Amino acid sequence: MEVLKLENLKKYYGINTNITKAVDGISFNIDEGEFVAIMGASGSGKTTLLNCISTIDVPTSGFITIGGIEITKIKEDELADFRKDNLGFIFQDFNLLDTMTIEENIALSLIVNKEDIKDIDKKVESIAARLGISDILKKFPYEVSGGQKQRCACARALINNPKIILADEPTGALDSKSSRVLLETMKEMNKELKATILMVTHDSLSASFCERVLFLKDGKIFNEIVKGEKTRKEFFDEIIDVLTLLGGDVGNVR
Amino acid sequence: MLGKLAVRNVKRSARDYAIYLITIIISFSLIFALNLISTSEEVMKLSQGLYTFQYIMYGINAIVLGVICFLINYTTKFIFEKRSKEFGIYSLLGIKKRKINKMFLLESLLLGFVALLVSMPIGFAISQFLSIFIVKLLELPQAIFINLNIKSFVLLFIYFALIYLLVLWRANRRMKKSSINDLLTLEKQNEKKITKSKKHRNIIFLLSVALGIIALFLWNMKLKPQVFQDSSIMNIILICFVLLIISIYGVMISVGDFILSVVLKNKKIKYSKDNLFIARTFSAKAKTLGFVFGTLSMLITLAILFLNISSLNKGLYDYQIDANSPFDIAVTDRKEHLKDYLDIIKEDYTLKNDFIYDIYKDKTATILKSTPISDYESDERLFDPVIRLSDYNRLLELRGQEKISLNQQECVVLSEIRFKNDMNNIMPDKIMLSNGTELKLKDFTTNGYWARISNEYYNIVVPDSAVSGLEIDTSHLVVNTKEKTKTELKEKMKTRLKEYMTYIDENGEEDDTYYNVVVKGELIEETNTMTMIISTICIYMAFIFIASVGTIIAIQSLSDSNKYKYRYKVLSNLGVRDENIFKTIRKQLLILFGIPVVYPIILNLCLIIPINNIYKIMLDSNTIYLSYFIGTLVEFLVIYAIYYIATYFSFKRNIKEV
Repeated sequence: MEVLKLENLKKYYGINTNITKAVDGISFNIDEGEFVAIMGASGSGKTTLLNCISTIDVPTSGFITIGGIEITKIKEDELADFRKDNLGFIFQDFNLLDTMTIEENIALSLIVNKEDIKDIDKKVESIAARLGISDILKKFPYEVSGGQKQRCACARALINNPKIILADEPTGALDSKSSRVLLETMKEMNKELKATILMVTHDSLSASFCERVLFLKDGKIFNEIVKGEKTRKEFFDEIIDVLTLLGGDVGNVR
Repeated sequence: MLGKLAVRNVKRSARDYAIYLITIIISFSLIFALNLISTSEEVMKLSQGLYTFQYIMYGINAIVLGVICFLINYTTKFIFEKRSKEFGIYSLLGIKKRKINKMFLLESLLLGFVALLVSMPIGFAISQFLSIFIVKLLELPQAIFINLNIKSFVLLFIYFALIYLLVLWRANRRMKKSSINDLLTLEKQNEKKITKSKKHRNIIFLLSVALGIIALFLWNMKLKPQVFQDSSIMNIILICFVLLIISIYGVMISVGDFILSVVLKNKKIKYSKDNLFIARTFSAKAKTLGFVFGTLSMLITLAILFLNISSLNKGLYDYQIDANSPFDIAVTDRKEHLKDYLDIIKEDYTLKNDFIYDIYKDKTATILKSTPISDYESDERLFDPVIRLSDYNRLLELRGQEKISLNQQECVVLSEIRFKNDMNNIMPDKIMLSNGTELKLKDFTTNGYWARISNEYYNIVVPDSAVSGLEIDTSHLVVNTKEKTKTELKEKMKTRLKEYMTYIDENGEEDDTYYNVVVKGELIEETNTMTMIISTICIYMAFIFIASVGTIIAIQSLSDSNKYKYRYKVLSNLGVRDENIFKTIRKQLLILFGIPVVYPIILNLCLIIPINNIYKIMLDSNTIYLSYFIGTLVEFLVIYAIYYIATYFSFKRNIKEV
């Protein structure tokens, strides 16, 4: 069953003759339980695409359907509710709130939406246990490491059982060891908790943890590869090959 | 949860905004203290003039509220921009914008409320100090305790509600207007430049300076001692102020680029020491903050002006007393009544000396007829007041001044200082009295004149023989007493000699002539009260203005210290030593604090010189205004420096924090 469906999505910036086609007619589907990466060089339109899907940005034309709901038609006022029920977010710079403990950060959207306190506690504890952050729940974000922060962000994204988790360069601010741990965690979220994840990255190692990788160039889909039965190493090499084809401007090829 | 979050956020921001918090606490305290005083019945009973104070305070508070509103609105907007990302995350997590908005408004209100609560006891304490000050000034035997009264609480709450209604309304609109994308990226966006092209900005700068010069030129042209008779003066002053406001804003908007273009053109200046770093940092601020800087400069200009008015007013104190009541008691009435007044005085006071003299009417009215300011109501009042030389000399003697001498064909004309120049122009060489005596004008002077000598603004002194045949207008009694006179004396006369001091006018209404009795004690009390009211108001407004300016610059700089920590890190990595970085910071802050001050100081000096030209005759010396001006500057700089120092230390702490 498809969770996310994009049809001829376009996002243009600028006026008159000076138009930037950040996203230029992209169509693809993501099915339930998939773990998909979008790769591309800086300026290829990754973040714009993700922003459109996140309902942060409004596309110029085209359709985005999440869980059968056409999101471009939702009123601004109802978007918050839509995000709460359907979307989870993981950012490069964590975006945790300094004034709240890890626990409160995870539970924030539930608390504000006045769910039952016992339920909240149970949910937070079970997710924290799964992600291995049970012992830091009472700490504040500035008291824990980057990797722990990002796992907290994962927990926050998972807490309300979203239809899809949108991750924007989740390993961007982490060292390689923490990155790996995080990616393993995300993989586990995908496998065990059946979370559907769409991740934007320009790191091929991160992408190699996914099942499918879409490559963007100049706002269009340039290529798409599927892991299938390949090992992660083989998949990684394949990603590198496509990146080489994409052009020399991908600086982060390892 | 929202409430809890708001409380936590307030706690966290308390340190960042300590300077802001302290400023609004002090502002609210002052408002409260002055409310307490101006609504205190005990204080109001002290002096008639204090009732005026109560009404003036409403007007003054309106202005002060405006400034505080500006400060709070500015800071709220600032906090909003700083925390916009956080709000974006809330929104992303599915919290409705309405709820986020509610939380932010609650937070701002909470911060204000804390300030309000803290300010009450402080304001109460300040009011007690002020009452001691009042008691000392009015020379009262015992202290007055200022009671807490409901009215001042209500007033304070009304002011608070007014400010926050406006501020929260603005904040609400700001939040509603920004989309989630705006919220998430607001922090990273550059602030808008006010003008686009560089060339324009230099032209604006030069134009604004030119406007300022024109305004000051006009001011200087028009503000001559004759100003009191010029009816167009208010328009001119208004035009000057409008020009100056435009000029101040223009200069502040463009000065950043102007400085930069000067600094960057000259390689020697550009690369010497840390000039480049400072110039760039400053101009980045000035370009985007031009308008705020303009407002800051306006406030500083006004603050210095108020302080100057306050000192000038204090400087006029002696003049005011002497010009209105050189004697302890002066009475104008019919000759046969004067003895009764004297009797009443004797009941309570020991006489040192007393003297009765007459003012005669010269119906030729040579001077009155030629003055442009004549406003005699009827033919009955068409005369020049004349005093005999011997009487005048006796008055001079009583005042401890030197006597004058005249020969039989000479006279002297005395006038009030304010009219000196006008009178000088029309003064005839010879005066022909209505009894046929022709007198040569020996001198025209303002020495020896005082307001009650004849109840006219000028007076002719003639040899004793020259008054023969002239009708007596009024008789005057002057008394000096051993004891200091008190207001009660006048009250006593008012009740005991009511029939002398009231009359029924042609409309059948009862009028009084209480002004015909001047008691020095009362005048001193009035002058003290007025001086106190003016000083209090001026200092109060000046303080709030300076504090607002200091706070806004402090908030600006401190947020930069957080946002651009890396700049100093870069300097440090480049091998600049800590103390040199601190020196750079000091310089940078000095420029930031200094630039909005320079133009106002120049303007104020230029504004005050013509004002002095009017008042110098009433002041102790022609140049005393300069010492007032310097004193004012010192007062201003002391308060301002506190903000500078506080900002510097917070800045240092911020960039040292990892």
